[in-house]
Amino acid sequence: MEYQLGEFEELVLLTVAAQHDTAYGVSILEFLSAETKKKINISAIHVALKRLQKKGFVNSREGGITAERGGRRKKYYVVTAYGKQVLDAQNNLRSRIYNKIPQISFSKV
Amino acid sequence: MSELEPPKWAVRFLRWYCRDEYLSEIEGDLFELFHIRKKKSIKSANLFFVWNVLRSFRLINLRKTQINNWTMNMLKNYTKIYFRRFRKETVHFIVNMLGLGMGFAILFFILMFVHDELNIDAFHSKKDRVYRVIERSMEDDGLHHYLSVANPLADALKADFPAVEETAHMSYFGSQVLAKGDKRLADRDWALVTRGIFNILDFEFLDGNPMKEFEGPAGIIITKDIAMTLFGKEDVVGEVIDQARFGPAEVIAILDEMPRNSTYRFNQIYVIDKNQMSEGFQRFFNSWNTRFFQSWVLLKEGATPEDVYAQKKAFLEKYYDDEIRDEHDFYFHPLADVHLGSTHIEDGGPAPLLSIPYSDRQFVNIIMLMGFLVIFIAALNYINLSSVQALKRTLEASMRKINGARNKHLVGQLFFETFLTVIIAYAISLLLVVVFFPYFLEIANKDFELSLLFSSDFWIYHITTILIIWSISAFLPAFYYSKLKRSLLVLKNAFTGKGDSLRKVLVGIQYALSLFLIIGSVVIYRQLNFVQSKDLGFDNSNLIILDINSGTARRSFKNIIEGIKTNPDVINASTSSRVPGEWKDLPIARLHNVLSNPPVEANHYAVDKDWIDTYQIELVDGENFVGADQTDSLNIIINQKAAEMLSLEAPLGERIWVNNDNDSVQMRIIGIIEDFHFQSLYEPIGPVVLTHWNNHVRSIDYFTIRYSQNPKQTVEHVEEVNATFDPGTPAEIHFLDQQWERFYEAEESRSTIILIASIVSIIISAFGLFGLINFTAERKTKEIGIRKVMGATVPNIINLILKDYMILLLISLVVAAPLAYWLFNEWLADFAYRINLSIDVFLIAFVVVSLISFSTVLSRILRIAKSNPVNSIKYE
Repeated sequence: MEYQLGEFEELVLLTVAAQHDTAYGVSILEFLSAETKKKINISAIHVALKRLQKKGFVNSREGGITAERGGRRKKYYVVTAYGKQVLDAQNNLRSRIYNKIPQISFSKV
Repeated sequence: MSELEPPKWAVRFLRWYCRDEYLSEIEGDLFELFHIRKKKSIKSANLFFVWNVLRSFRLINLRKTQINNWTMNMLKNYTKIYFRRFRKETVHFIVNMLGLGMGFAILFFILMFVHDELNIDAFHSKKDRVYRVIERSMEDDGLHHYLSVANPLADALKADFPAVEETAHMSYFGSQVLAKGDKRLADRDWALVTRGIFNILDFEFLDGNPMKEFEGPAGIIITKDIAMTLFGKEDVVGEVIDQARFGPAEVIAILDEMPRNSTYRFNQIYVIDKNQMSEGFQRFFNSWNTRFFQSWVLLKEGATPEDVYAQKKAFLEKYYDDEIRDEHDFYFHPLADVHLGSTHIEDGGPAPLLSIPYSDRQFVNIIMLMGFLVIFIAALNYINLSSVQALKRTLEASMRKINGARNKHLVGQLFFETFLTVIIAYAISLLLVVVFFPYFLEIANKDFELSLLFSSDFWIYHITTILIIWSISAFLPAFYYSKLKRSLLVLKNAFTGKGDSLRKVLVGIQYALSLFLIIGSVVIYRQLNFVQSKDLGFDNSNLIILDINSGTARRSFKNIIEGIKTNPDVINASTSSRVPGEWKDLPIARLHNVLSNPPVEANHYAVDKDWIDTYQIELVDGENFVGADQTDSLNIIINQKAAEMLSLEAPLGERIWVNNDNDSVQMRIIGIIEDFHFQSLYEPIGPVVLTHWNNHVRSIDYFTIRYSQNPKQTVEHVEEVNATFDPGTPAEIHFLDQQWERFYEAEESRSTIILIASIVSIIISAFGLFGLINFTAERKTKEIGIRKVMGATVPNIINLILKDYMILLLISLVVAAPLAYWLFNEWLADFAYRINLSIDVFLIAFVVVSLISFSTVLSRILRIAKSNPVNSIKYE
């Protein structure tokens, strides 16, 4: 299975999957900022979401209008079946390689 | 919901750039984040919102430009067609662009030159209130304007006129020698001033205070270079220089380097205090009939020179006796006119050296005109070539019309195409300017930065020139293109002769301008050559001048001359009070036959017996000084001009009165020398009187050494001799021919600018002609073929085409020649020695233009004329 997935894109995709059906820009931003303890700009999330959607990993739907959004609709993202496969494959790859690490103690740098 | 909203402009900006399909998501998220942040601080929320808007400004989010916009589409099509035609008609386009590019480049160079000329001395902050006082002196030989004015005038002006805020003196003594310990230096770029000058003109000081009190007659302000030479350090304010003009002098300030666009660029300013000077000097300072000082005036805010002129009569009557009052009328000459309006003013006394020679407004106007002429010629090319090209584009115009274009669209297309050409030409010109800038500085004798061209002052010139050239170039071709006969419509290659007469007029104008410019260039070139090769009456090559800057050298001059003569390369050596091509003032002696007769004012040189031989001036009659100090002291030698003006029939042996500064002595004429030039050839030869060196009025000031070869070794030898007999003074040595060149430097650089501008404009014209003939040839290919089939010979055909151009050229000559004759006669009138405008100047111009145009015509036509008519008839 061939796919292209950047590191940040992967994080966003994971978040979308974790926040099933309730993931949108701000929620992803808050979640990721909390998890990674890093400063992330909302525009980076937007770009990543657009790329993921273009690749077919996520779908989007329009949500309701709320006051604090200045009368704009939320755009919710859901992982597609293909997106889920990609996440699984990625996860498999990681654990396969991780499991090959020998059980020894590593020297401190 | 809260009333607090993010900054409106940021929202507007976001909505402007963001794609519609992403807008709702991005804007919504940004608003939500804003409201979360708002709970902490409004300010940071606002900032954060703006930051996010900026961060979202990414290519992926940007709105696509609307390419289905009508105008954009049209412009795109015009551009496409333009570059297609560029490929097809490369010659035509290159000719247009290079022509315009060169025209622009010349114009920009000239604009920079003129801008610099007009801004000389403009850095003085009080420049609108600063004047030099000029004396208008009515004398026997006419009206004189003198820059040096009565010595006490400056002080009296300040005391008597309420409109005058400040006055100051400025003068000069020739080279000033400074000494500190065993360090010595001689320098010419300096001035003697009184303190007021620092309130009038702007000088920048690195250290010290120019107004500071000092001991003794004078304090001195020097540049840090001089400080380094004399003291070996820069921090020398308060230290004393051992020897200057009036003995030791305290350094009161350090002068910063003066701006490049200053008429004067001093290395030293020698500040004198009248009250601390010797009694003799104070008397001199108060002498109303001596002109030793320039006077500078600063008027009060709001005052005009008229305020002073109103009370001038009473002032003159107060200070001058009746008989000399007419010689001391004065007026104020504004600082702004110093560089461009001083040509009528004589120094009349010692004057500090100018760092930039005076120029005049007339030249600035001529050169401006020249610049516009060149760009105009380039525009003519464009008009000519594009209007004939328009004829070729009948088909395109018709197709556009059929597809719904109106006349205004066709006009718009041509304006757009012209705009592209002009912009490309402009880019070419900038490139040319950058490449040729160093050469330009050298030729123009200027010193400024290329950044001037791109300074804020200059953008307006760039834009105006582009707009003007664009509109005049586009107008006619667009008119032709849009008015093409629609009835011919899509008839392929329909050709009408329409516009022929206009084109002929334009070519005629171009011919006339080219002829005019060539005539001008030839005249200027010949005149300059003439001036520089004219016999001066003496040989100014291989002459070394050594200044006498000290009493020691003056006293031991005989030893110095003997010492110099020991070198085998030295042919002769002599001493004199002045040298021809003098850079200080030229003193006058008044010669009378009978004391009651009006005098002849002759330039006075005090010389020794070897002087005439050293200069190789011919002794026409009589004899030279013999070198016996007793007998020679009452003998004089005069030149032919003086003999003529004194109207002496047999001048030899006659005794005449020689009057120097109110002191008359009867002296005997022992010799007559040939006339020689002692000033530039702008001045006619005047009368000259030579007295022996030991006369009682003029002391010797120079040695002149004639050498045969090895100038470098000779100079070293002269320096050694000088050091032996006068160890206290550094030798100041010049080559006389270089001093003479100064007279022509300014004129030469101006003429070279005109010459180059002419040459470029002629090249541009030739380009245009080439393009035009190229077009004609193409058009006539078929006609020539048919004529050949009908039996025309090659000469017939060439004749047919050349005839048109010949007639045009002759008409242009008739127009241009009288105009050029009149104008250049005016120009030549300024020279005392000038060439005659002979017929051959006009012939040369005519032949050059004919050659250029006919060779262009022939190269193209001959090929077609000789070719097989079958091919050319087939030609489409």
